[in-house]
Amino acid sequence: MADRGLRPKPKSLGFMATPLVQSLIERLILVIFTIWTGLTISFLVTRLSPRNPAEQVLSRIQGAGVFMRPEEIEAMRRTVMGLFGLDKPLWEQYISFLQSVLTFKFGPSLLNFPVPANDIISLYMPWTIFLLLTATIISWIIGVVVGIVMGIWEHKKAVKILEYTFITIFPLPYVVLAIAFLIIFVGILRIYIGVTIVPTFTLSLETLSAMFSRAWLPALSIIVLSIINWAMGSLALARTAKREPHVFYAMVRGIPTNLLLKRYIGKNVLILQVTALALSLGGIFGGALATEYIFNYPGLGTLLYNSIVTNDFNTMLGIITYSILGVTIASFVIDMVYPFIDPRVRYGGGE
Amino acid sequence: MEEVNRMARHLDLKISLAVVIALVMYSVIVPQITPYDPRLWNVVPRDKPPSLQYPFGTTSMGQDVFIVTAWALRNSLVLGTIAAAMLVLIAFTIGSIAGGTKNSIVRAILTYLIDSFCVIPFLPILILIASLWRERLGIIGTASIIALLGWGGQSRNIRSVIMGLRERTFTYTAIFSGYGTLKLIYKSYLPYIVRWLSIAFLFGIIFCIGLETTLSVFGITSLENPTIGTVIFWTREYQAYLRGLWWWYTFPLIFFIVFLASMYVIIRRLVARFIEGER
Amino acid sequence: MVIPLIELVNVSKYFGYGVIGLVRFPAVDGVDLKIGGEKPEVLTLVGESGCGKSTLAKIMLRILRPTSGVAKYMGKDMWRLKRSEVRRFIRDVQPIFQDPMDTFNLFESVESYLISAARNLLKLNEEQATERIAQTLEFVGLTLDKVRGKRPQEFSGGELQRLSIARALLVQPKLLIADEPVSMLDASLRINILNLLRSAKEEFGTSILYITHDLATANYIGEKIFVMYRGSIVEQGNIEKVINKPLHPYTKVLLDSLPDYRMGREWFKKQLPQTLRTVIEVREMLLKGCKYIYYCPYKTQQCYEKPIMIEVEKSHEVACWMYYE
Ligand SMILES: Nc1ncnc2c1ncn2[C@@H]1O[C@H](COP(=O)(O)OP(=O)(O)O)[C@@H](O)[C@H]1O
Ligand SMILES: [Mg+2]
Repeated sequence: MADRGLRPKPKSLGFMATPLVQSLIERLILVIFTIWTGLTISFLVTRLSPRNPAEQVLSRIQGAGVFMRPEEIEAMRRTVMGLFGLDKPLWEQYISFLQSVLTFKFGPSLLNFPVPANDIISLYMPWTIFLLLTATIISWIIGVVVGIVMGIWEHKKAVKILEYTFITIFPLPYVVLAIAFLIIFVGILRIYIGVTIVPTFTLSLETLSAMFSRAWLPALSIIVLSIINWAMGSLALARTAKREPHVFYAMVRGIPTNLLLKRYIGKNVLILQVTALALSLGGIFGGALATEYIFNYPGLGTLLYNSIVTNDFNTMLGIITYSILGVTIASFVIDMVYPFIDPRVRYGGGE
Repeated sequence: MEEVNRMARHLDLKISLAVVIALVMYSVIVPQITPYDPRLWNVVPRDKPPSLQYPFGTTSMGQDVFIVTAWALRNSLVLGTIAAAMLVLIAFTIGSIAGGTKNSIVRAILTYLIDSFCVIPFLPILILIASLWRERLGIIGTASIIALLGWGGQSRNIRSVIMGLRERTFTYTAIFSGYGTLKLIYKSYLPYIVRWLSIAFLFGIIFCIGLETTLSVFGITSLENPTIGTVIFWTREYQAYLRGLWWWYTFPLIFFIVFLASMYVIIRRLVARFIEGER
Repeated sequence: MVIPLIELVNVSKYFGYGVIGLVRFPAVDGVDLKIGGEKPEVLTLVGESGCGKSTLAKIMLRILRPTSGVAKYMGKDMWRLKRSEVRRFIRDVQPIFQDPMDTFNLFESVESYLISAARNLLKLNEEQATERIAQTLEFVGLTLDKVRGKRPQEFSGGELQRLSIARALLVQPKLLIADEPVSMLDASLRINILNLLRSAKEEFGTSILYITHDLATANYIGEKIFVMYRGSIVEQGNIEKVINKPLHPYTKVLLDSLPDYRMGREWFKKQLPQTLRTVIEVREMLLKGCKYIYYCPYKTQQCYEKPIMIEVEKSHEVACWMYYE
């Protein structure tokens, strides 16, 4: 035992600021990696695509009835290629693409030629954010609560019927449910009219009410499917939680149901569903894009569709960049909240 | 066989199996006996409601809904199956390496890759790819891009299954009984892996059919081949909802919904059985 | 001096927790240990649940790699062994696990483990293997006919634990590491299994490391004891000396809280010490000094440093600054 002397430096008890910082850094790395992966895939897809945006612009100009001599066309082509950066080697294009992401300058929109794609995107963006934010928050809260309640009274007949209704709707893709809503509300009830004109977003009562009058049906379709989604997840988690010994013991002891709900099952499910929310944002966003397109709601989904139809590359890449950034950063934020609500993970120190 | 019998005791499972088998038969048999190519237009009178001659009515493009629905189900199923097979293959390869490797660098990289594919909003990227390559995408092409982008979630599951298996006590028992790595995987893990892969595959079919439907509704797959998604696309194009052509969309949609729900019930039962079976 | 079979030198094992798991705490913190001298003995490792006993066992079994420190087998770093040495390690050190239901794979026959051990580890031919298996099964009170071709679901917990012991003893190891082998069994079966372990020492000359949270059974079969608290060993030595004259404040509390059937209902009136009632918190695991500092009535400024093991009397050591001259 001779080789072991005294350990140096008496330590005080409260020193636990570091774990939080550590996990923050780790998750930041993940976020950056995710964004980079998504952007690189998108970049490669557009560059390897058989279509050439410059040709699209040229044919558009020529289609407008402007007569040009062959040399002029060649010069024009070179100018346009330069404008899109398509005359440089691939890796240089990649670098400048990453730069454009960092500065949010995606070049001109093709659909509305000289107008920057960014301007058009920011016109549509608030609509999508409005739709998504309301729909996600409402459906997450209702869905988790419904799932927990179903989990507690799982042997009631009404719950069983509800569960089978959910099972029927759960595996459907968003678009199909949206179509069903379209058939019911537009085809049969005729109480929702789609819109095509996009008013500029301002924080006035007027715009908000306009937004609401257009958003309620697409939002409803997202909310219904998401509620079912979350309810099914929470139901499964609540069932697992009920089987845990301490919860089972509490139930046998006859703890009042609302206490059981709050203290034992609810907390478990809620915590796990926060991570699930962070993971599923990408899917929800994709669903919203499809829903917007179906209801002709003036958001990024519709814009994406229009830019696809017109081969508006810059707008497409812009929308995709924004969606990758938005979804990954949002899930990062949700993930960071997690340690603060999970009682098993504690950063505090001292007595 | 005995297992199938035991499982079939559940009524919902019986019904679901019957529905899935019936719909698969319908989608296999009807296209065999139809006299014409489903891609042709104006082969029957347009916009006819259901009658004895056309049990599901006809479309505005002059097609028989009964036949189009069968083709659509068939194509969706074929595409979903191919895509799911590829997706599970990718997910399994990456997930099992991430969960099984001893090399910490490989593990970290693959884990990051899996996590980022779980979070990336892949529908916009999928739409982008599909729209840019539309002319060249057949069924295999569409299936491939769906598989290439959608494997994240399944991969994460497989990774945690493998990691779970590696930490199960029986793994240590096997090692201390002189099992080699190959024997361990082949004898101890394979039964578990096969079970989870079959679930992943069935789930992948639902997932991929859903994605294909979404892409088709956007109108960015080859639209003359009927799938459930393209049927929806054309009903929108011809405003069938406003014109009261209810038969055009009702039959395909109901068949589709019933099919997906039945598949899902089967999957749920399988999962429950596997988890209980392990107790 | 003989080289110990297994030696741990300042071994620590950190685990991550949290969502992704970069935040880490030590489940085993700076443990020094020597096992396997000249003659076989029964050692016991005692501590409350969650204190890192299983983690320490897995380190000794070469299942977990220590984060820092060295785990040695016959004087060599366990994780730098050649293939043939690993094979010898497996023949020398065998585990018995806590949950008999999880010890064997549900999709394989129990027999296949026994056969594999006999054929792959001992390199016996088929005939010899069968004979060896039959002998070992007989030792644990089972017969080959009862076992042949059956899967774990077809046995009771007690039978499975016997099979687990038979599997471990088949290769006649020098050390058996039994991690809570009786805690999942009915109380009436426990004594049988413990007797079996004890006679294994006599019959095969196997040393046994018996890991438990239960001091009573430890005292029943043990000769030497290690008391573990929050990842560190706080007291070690001859089991009679430790139990009759506990030195570490934690050991005293632990012994004091043992239920005594003679006390009857009186025992429930006794206040359980706070140490044993509270859930282990991560902040306690992260302490650099003595982990008992939150509850210790005798704590001093010096306790913020990690205590060293002090030999108070012959074969009785304690890691507490109170005994430091
Ligand atoms: N693989 C693991 N990952 C993370 N934490 C673990 C792991 N294994 C054990 N732990 C943690 O390490 C501590 C000690 O666990 P363990 O060694 O199983 O305790 P014991 O066997 O004494 O009950 C516990 O807090 C436990 O939660
Ligand atoms: Mg343990």
